[in-house]
Amino acid sequence: MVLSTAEKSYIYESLSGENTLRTDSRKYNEFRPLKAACSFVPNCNGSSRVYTADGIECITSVKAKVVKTKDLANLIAVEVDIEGQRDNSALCLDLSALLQRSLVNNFDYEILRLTDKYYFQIYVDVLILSVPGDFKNSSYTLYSLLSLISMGSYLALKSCKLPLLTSTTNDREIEEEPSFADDWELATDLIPESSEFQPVLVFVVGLVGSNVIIDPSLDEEQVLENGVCIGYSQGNIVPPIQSVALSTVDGKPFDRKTLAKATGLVKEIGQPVTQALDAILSEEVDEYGSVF
Amino acid sequence: MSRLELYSPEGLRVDGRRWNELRRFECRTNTHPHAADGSAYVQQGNSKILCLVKGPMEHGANLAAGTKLDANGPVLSITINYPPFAANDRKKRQKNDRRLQEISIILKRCFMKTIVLKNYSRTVIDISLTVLAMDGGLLACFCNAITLALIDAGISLYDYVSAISIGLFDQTPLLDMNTLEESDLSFVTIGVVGDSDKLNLMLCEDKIPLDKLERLISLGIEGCHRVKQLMDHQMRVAGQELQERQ
Amino acid sequence: MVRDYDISNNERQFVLQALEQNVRLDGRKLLEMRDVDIFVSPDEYGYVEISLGKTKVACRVTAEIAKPYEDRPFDGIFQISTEISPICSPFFESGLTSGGKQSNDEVLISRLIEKAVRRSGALDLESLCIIAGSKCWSIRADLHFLNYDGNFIDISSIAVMVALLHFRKPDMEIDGNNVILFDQDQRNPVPLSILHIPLCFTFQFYNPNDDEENIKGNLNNELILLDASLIEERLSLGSMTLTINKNKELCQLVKSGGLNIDASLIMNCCQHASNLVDDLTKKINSVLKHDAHLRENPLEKELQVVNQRDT
Repeated sequence: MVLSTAEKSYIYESLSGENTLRTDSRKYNEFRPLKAACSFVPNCNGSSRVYTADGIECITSVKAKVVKTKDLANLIAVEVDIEGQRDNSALCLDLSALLQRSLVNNFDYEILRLTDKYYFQIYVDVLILSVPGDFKNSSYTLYSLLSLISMGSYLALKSCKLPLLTSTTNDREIEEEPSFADDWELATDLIPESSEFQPVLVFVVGLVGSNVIIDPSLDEEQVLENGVCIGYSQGNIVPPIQSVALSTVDGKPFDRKTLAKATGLVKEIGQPVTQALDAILSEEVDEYGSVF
Repeated sequence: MSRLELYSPEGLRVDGRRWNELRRFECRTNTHPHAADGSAYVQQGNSKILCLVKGPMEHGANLAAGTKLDANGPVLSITINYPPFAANDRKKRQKNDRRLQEISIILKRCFMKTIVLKNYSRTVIDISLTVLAMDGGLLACFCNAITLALIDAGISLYDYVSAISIGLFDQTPLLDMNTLEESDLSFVTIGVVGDSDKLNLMLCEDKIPLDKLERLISLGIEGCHRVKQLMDHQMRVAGQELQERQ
Repeated sequence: MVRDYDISNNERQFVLQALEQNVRLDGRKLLEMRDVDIFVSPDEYGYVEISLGKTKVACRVTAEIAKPYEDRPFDGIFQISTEISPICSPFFESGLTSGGKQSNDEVLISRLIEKAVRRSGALDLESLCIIAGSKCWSIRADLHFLNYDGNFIDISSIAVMVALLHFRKPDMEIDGNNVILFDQDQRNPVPLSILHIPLCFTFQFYNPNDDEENIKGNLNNELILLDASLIEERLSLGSMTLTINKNKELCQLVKSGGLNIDASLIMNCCQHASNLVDDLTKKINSVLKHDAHLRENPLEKELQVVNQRDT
């Protein structure tokens, strides 16, 4: 939907005012409703489905493979595919690279280690289904999907199950390929409950005036002055912190204080968001996984 | 897996079924009420397919430039998403994968004979299929999912199209193949309209002795009718729910 | 730019009404094929031209030594190229002008030929292996469509199979890791190992009643015809291609949607095709035998050439 100048001005004024009034009466730190489910794809190690009220759906899968490597940075591969976009389009490549880098930089490689030589290689595949027509035919860019994608990959990684390793973890002397238990009942979590490690979450924050808002809606994106994506993991702000174009008209400069406000916002909501996602993980999916 | 284990002398298959048993068939409609006009989710064993239908509408977003609208019926466009994680081994497929292109053409021709064309002249119907997990019966699952999603979108059809795959193990026909069986045995996929014995689509890509074909088809038709009943039941349940809500 | 083949209403009605009375424009019966004319090149191996009525294709088979695919070190390579150029008819676009995107028909034709000949294992790929993992024969069949009057699929399958049967690859010897190829003059070239001859038959369906009768009714009087010409192909409401060999093995069958046809009628089609495949295989073999005979007796060949000039 294209807004008129008057509408834009009205939304801008109310967003950048003291109380940050948003068009859908959310608070500045409130998300639109999201639904999610996980572990419903039988032939993946981990999977998740996150979808918004307006029909955008993000399906993420994690597959693991045993590889012999020394190069840890290559152990995580991310691929984002958006329906209706070529898979080598700049947007898909950008989103894949951004998510891959943020995961690689904040990963606990110890959980991927099998033996001194063998590691699990993790493939994270993201599929965005049914992007609303509004996105396709106007000045919005799809970078705002980043937070949805990162929640999807968080859930998929957290729900990822691996077969139980039965061979020894110390093979300094003998070159032995790792072997696993056949019984899926014995499968272990990729990220054990005892581990402190949390996969990175990336939040998209809109900047308007000296105010910051989380999860900007389509109307709001048109009047934003800039957008930043900020990583969050285990209570801390982590890379990436970078500016993303949310529409083709934003991109105005912003000052340091606003950025500090944005990181403050992410720090503030990081904890409740992680808790909400973890609650979804503990929900049981029935045997036939009819999450649809 | 050796060929012998696919069908034991006692008459059991790898997943414990008998020769004429379907896998668990689950389906839901209207799974994505906000994203599309009609949507369906079909699960046959471990194969899971999503289908979204948009339309009938005046313009299709996924339509190739320059496609003319047809005065005698709708233009169907079918896109298939086959993400790399859907198969057991991760494998990236190209967008212009020949096999998928062929399947989409076959499906298009199949549904052009099932939709009541005269109601939808000069319109576009956009069908998008997503494979979440594939464990055999690709074409059959696609076909069943499209039927349900079209019904959900309120597009008038003459009848259900239900499809199933049937394989051949020596002398025995096996209904509803899974990936293990598909990789070692020859199989046929057939699609049937309604409760008739008429075949709408049929695809066979491997060698099958001609004299066995008849048995495969007759078992297949039985299987299709069963699938049709299951789909019909689900549609009626969905209709009931809709009525109660009003 | 692709031109659509527009058929006037009068023409359409004329053809369809004639079909309902079991008459086709060229006087054939519904399930009769046009005459297959096979020309094999007397001078070289692996070049054939086939015509089926006015439809004409040429096929050339070539061989070279290549590295096998990594995942199949014991198999040779076999490729079939089927690009339809506008030479044969203005309905087809060349790959350059259409931006490399193929039309529906083209995709189906190339997939069908691929499945009929390659997937059915007509050519023994293992016999093409020279040194496992490093050297193998790569056989390539190039199909050229010269004129289009319907039924490209059937004729292509005949062309590829005849060309493969006719082709001879140079004889060779393996010396350690070196491969020595012999010229045609040194040693007689050797034929490919062909396991069976799959041939395609395409049936077209027409509906004398309305759609509703086709779906709900049980008249089952849909018209079925074999080897359609261009105009019949355009008017058809559905088609089915099956590939069969003379061992009565069905190699491939596609009924891509279209008119709904009773299973028993489909079985009849298969039976009919299995009768035809015997005759056609015999014909192919006799043509090739004749060619081989002429090669062994060069004198007779020369006499034949003289005779041809006379007429």
